[in-house]
Amino acid sequence: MKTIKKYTILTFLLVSIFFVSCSDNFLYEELKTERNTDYYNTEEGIADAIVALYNDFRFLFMRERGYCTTMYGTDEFTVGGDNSNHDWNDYTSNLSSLIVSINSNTIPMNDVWDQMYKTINLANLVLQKTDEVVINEANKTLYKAEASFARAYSYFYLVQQYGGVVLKLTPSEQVERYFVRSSREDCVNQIIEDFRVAYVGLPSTTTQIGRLYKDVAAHFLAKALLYRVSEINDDWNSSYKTSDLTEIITLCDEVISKHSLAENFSDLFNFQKSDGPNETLSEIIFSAQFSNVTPAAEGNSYHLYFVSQYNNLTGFTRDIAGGREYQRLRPSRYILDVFDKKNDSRLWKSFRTKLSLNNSKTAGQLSGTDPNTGLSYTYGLGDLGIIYILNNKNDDRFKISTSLLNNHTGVYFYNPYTQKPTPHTYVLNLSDGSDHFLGVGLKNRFPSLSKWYDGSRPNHNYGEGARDGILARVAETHLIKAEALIRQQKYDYAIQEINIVRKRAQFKSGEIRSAYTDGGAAYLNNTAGQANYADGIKVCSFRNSNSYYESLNIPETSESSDLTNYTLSKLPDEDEAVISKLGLTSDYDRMMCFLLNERSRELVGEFQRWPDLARTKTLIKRAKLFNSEAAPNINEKHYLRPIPQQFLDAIRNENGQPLTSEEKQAMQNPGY
Amino acid sequence: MSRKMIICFLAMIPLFVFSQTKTITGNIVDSNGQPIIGATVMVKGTSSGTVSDMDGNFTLSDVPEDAVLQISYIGYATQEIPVAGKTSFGVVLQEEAQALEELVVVGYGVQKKSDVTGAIISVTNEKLTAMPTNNALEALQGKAAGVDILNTLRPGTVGEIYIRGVRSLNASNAPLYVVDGVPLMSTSGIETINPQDIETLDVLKDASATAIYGSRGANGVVLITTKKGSQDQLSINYAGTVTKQDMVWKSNYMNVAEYIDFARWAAYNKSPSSMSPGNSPSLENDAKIELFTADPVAWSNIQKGWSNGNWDPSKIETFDWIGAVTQANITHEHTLDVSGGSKAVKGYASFGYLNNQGTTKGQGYQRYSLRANLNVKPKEWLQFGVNINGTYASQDYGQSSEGASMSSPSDLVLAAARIYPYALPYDSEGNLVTYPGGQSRVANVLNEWKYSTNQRETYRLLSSLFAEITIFKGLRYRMNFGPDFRSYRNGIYNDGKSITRGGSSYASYSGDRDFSWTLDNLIYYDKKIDKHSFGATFLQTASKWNHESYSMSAQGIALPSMKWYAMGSVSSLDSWGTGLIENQLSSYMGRINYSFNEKYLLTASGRWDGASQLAEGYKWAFFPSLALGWRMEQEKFMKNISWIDQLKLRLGYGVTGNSAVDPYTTKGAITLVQQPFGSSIVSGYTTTTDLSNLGLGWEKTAQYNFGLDFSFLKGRLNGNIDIYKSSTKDLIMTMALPSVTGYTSTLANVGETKNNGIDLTLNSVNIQNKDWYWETNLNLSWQKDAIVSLMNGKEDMVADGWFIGYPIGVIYDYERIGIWQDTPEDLSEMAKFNANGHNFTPGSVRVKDQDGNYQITPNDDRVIIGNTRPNWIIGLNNNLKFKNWDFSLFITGRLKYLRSVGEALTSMYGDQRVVDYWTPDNIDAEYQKPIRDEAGGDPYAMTYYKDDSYLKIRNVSLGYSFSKSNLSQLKVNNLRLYLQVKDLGMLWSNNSYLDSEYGTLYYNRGIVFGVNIGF
Repeated sequence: MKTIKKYTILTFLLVSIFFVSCSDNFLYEELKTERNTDYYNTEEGIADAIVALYNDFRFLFMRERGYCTTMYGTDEFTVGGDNSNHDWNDYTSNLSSLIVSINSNTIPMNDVWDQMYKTINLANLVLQKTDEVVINEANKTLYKAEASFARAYSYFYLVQQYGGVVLKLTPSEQVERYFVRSSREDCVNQIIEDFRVAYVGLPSTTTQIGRLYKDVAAHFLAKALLYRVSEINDDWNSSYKTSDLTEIITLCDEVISKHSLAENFSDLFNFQKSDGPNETLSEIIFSAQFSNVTPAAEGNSYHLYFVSQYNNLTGFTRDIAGGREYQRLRPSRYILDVFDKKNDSRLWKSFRTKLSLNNSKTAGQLSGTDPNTGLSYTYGLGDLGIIYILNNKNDDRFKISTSLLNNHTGVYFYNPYTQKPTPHTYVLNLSDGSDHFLGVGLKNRFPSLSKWYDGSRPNHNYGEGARDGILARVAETHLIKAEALIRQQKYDYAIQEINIVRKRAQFKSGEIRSAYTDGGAAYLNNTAGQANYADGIKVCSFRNSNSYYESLNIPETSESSDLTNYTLSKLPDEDEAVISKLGLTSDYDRMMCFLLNERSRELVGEFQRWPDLARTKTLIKRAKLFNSEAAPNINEKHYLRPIPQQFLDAIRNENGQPLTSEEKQAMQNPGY
Repeated sequence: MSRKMIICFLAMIPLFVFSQTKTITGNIVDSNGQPIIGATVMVKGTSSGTVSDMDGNFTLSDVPEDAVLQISYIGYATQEIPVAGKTSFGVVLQEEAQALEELVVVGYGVQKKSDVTGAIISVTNEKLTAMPTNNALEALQGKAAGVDILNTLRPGTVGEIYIRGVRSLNASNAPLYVVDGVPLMSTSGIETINPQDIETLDVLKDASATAIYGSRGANGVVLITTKKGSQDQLSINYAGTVTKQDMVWKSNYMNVAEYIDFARWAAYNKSPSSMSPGNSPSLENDAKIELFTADPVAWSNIQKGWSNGNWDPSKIETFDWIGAVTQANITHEHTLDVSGGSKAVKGYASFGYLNNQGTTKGQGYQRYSLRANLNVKPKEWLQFGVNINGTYASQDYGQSSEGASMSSPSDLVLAAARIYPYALPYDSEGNLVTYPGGQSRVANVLNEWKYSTNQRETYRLLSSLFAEITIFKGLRYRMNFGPDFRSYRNGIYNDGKSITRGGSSYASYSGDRDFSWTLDNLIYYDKKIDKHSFGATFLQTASKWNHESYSMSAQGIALPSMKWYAMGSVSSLDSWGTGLIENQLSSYMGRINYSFNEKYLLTASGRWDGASQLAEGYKWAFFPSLALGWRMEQEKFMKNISWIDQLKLRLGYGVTGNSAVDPYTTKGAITLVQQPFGSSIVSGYTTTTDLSNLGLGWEKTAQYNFGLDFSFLKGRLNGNIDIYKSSTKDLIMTMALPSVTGYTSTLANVGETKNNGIDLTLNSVNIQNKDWYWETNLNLSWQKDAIVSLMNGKEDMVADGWFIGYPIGVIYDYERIGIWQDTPEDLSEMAKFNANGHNFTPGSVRVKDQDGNYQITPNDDRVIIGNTRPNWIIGLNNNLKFKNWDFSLFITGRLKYLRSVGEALTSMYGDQRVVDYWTPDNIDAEYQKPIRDEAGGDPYAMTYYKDDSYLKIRNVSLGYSFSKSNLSQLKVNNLRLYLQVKDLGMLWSNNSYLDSEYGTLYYNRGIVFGVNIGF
């Protein structure tokens, strides 16, 4: 018995000794399921980091940051039915270094800042490691060019928003806390230098859709140079002006020579399916890539924000083609009036003005009798349910009256084209000269900017859109060149250049002016989505016509229209109206105003406006005149955004101490 | 079952036995010859008896010749004396030493209660199972001072537990669970253990006790000892309860008339120029209110209130939306156990079943548990044992919003509550209205429980094995092995018709598999030389945790019956993934117990822990502890104080760690991104926003504890009091980095918190005599924590809500000082603010402009309003026994903390509780004027906070225990029937509109019928 006992003891002791001896190895930690930063020390890792840099160009089109930083608070849009980000439009005191969130959709001040520096850090890492790791010389040049572009693009975005920022040109591997801001001149010069590296190093063409090539760098280099010579930099840019302007024109000409404008303005936005033909038009120089190919990633969400509310109107329900109504951006009167409504097709191709009844259960409830004629009307699926009438002033057809139908627009409109009253009628100009839907009471009803509708989504609430986000198209290149010409005071040449864009915007001979399409129509090719249609009904709110004739009340015509019938001294009526409101007189000011208006007409909703107005220092004047909610609050400090509080709180001064209140104030932009 | 019950009730009829009787007398004294007053003298097996008088004398008549006298008194051992042949009795009762000799489970061993030096609370099975509970955590609530437990209403979901408050900012504050000696590694805690199977539950509170668990002891340790067989006798026990639960609504919602008035004011306040005020309604004005007209069915319902220009809201139809999604619930629970054994073999087995249907449709929980325990002692020096605890649990979680394309309330009841009071579920043709009221975030909840399924299944096998050999007297070697296997899967199916979906169905299937084990090698040595007693423990231990996970989700499932079972039927999945997490812990521990003359006690321990998830060079840390005890009652000068049974002073110090660093945190993982180029997807890798910190170490808590254990008047008053003070350093915190580095944060050891408090446990026997017994237990704790420093030293971290010198979890907001009024003074003040970009109008919230610059800014005008964690936690239990009847009343409470009550006026959904809101006719209102808005409205609407203290009647119970004589004929050993009310309601609460404990607008009140039978 004694021996058995001893053996047992011995066995147990051996087991314990075994565990003691192997314990160092036992605590070894191995990350098996993910790659770690060591991967960037390989050529493959550098190539994959470059792919990630491309991924970052999508940032602007994801969530609400894009419109907050480029569309709110301008002359083009104001706040719609949802207030989540109204501070960005209204310039309230909450548009501060630390925005107090209204809800989870509120974009904080550090949002863009953080992301841009994340991209910059990865670009810095690629630029540093490429030389060590990449062997192939051609790849070396390409990777450095791509990373330089990404870095320049990010700094450009930062500088336009915040002014001079911290110029960090090396990757971070450990905690760093001492930072100071560089001057705007140094930042802009760095941006231009990086774009030049990209311009030199990028190939002249690329086989992969969405990849960078020389023209993209040329376009952005021109844009950065234009920024350098803009009014916001007038205190230091005089020595750059002459040469920059010449270079801009050369660069633009190079890009223009290789890209043609799309035949029809609506071709650009006629999105039929994910990665469809409209996304590879010659006009498009560069776009952030989105697709509905799995694995699904965060999508382009700009199909959400411009949509006005329709699902709560009788006869309607939300559907894929109609979009989900985030109602963030309500067009201003300026943007609706700046088009030549009769001759400029872009107004009718950029805004959705009609929706069809799509709710089988409630469409029938819209019956009623006209008190004047005694005629009664009934409605069914597919009938015209909502119309936005973008009429001219002094149109005496529309008055507030007691309507026969249970809607609350207060306007009764017998539509001669449908031979019925249109149940939900919204009118830009009432006969008494007052606003109808632009009034404060109806913030959720407006013609929706339709450039980003996406009918390819699998269901009507789905947020992840598949549309590419256009970052550069050649129409803009023309306008950049035109602006350089204006700055050189070559106004006639500028007009010639602008007219290239305007001619494309004319109605063509034989064109049906009421014809309409937008990305919502992609639902036609979306079998998966159709299967999910609300209530199993395939009828949807999308309508292939606009309210051109209802609005203008003119006979139908198939003639071409002309947008070139103006001169420097007599600019188009719409522009003269804006010029006179702004009180401009000099040729230069008049031409700059015309150019900015043209940029509105061409590029509204394409993430340009706020930077354009800020750099030309026209923001305050225009916002005060045309954005009623921004007007009371906007002032000189709003040419720049405040530096995010998180940055000021996290950095240290040169002594390693957290910044004092005074030091923080000194690093902040003036006025905040 | 029903036949058994009939037998039970029959047994209630007293069974009369006729035999010869006589009268007896006696005198009762203690070992010192002092008379014992009030001792109970019973004829065994009957209800006849008496109590001893002032001199210890008693008289009892009609005593049968064959009877046995049972003499008992608290603090003394009960004596049984046969009556046969005697009429006079001199009884000497011996003091019961057992109360102090009780064994207490400490880490890696047991100790006599009298020798314990740490702050430990023991809760026995009796107390844990006094009322039916879903899990052991719920059972522990209010039973242990210093333990704060927050329950949840959802069946099958466990609440939160905090032992002595919170101290960690980012790391977990959950305690370590040790089941039968095996510390659990798994993310799963103790929810799978049937409370009926628990023998004792010991909570180690102070660091001198928890330091034995080193890096994992900072948040306290809960030691669970499960039931074992005994060698005495074979017993079979059954415990069962049936509970009927009903949902009780606390909140007083506006009725349709009140709501419509409210909405009219809201519409008016939104656009005063185009709407008429709420006090002058008209059909024309109502027709302009989109909220009313958006849904034609609701609008025609509202119009019923109008006839000939007169408004009569009583004509409007209403529908009970909440009633439609709730159900009366029957919960039943059954546990059957068998135990027995011999000297060499002891065994215990039990089977438990719990079925809780939930009061919300679609929710429910079922648990089957099986337990087996076997102890074998083949030789005097050798012992083996095995414990196996197997559980299968199935939880119907209820409506799931996973995969929802828009945000929705977290459960069905809240979704139903949101619906407008004038909205109807069906239109005139009987079709379901998808959005009653016409707002896209308020969907029809009817049938939702059929369209949204979330079923979670857990299998768990938690076991422990041990072998122990006595090498020679005093030296023992023991090996513990504890494997813990858990498999969990979560299946979700939301039909296209579900309110969370936009037409397409959604399914997801995910789960994980945990396997962990712990292997301990322990050597114990005990030695006694004269008055010196030594005990030493040495431990070497290793643990490993391995966690696999998988998930997939898809849309457009062809058939509802496929649920998550046919993921292969879709053309492509939306998402999929698998994962693996592993970590290891290796430790060495040594402990010495020393006592001198059973008066002076010392415990010292040290533990070295090494963890895989920290970087090389930072893996190992040392956690020491020291505790001293002084059993004052053993001193000569105390021996003569007869009313003191026990008085022990304890002083302890210890260091513990918080190992809640996730594995791979220091590895610098990078993130996969999928980038389309046209329609081809290319993968890339980007950095995360976290910079990996190679210097990350343990968060450490050092704690002093000063305690006093006492027992007076032969145990009639006993308890303990502990005062503690702890300081947590090297807090693991996400430290913000300037994003200019490309990273926004890194996990680092920065900052310090402190915490102090008092725990008091008091048990008192207020009345004890022949028929009556009344006992009161009070658990009271007070604690206060504060932040000492943060990542920037003494700088507040406003964005995280952390302020130096203030507790963790304060409310930092604008200070509300009232409502702006339409008076000249207020108007002129408002004008000054409005000139700076504000938009104040009469009726909106007025907040204090702290710096007086007529501009309300987040930097300068927010202040600390208060704390969201209670300072006081209380548990009060009263047990009253009268003959065979017992009655108990259990009260719990949390005191002195704030709750945000500002939800009242912002949502603009139907769930609007009655509030006193501002109108020009009601200017003294508490709440601001309503402003109709989907987002925004009054920017300071959320500044309403209120003290949320409460005392709640958790449980009232009435029971009847059958006396043994009645039962013996039925071959039943013991039988108790009881009736309880669980969650009777608030005794006192400051916020009447919600249940402060659950933080919900409703709670479930249960009527319990229970049976305990032993054979």
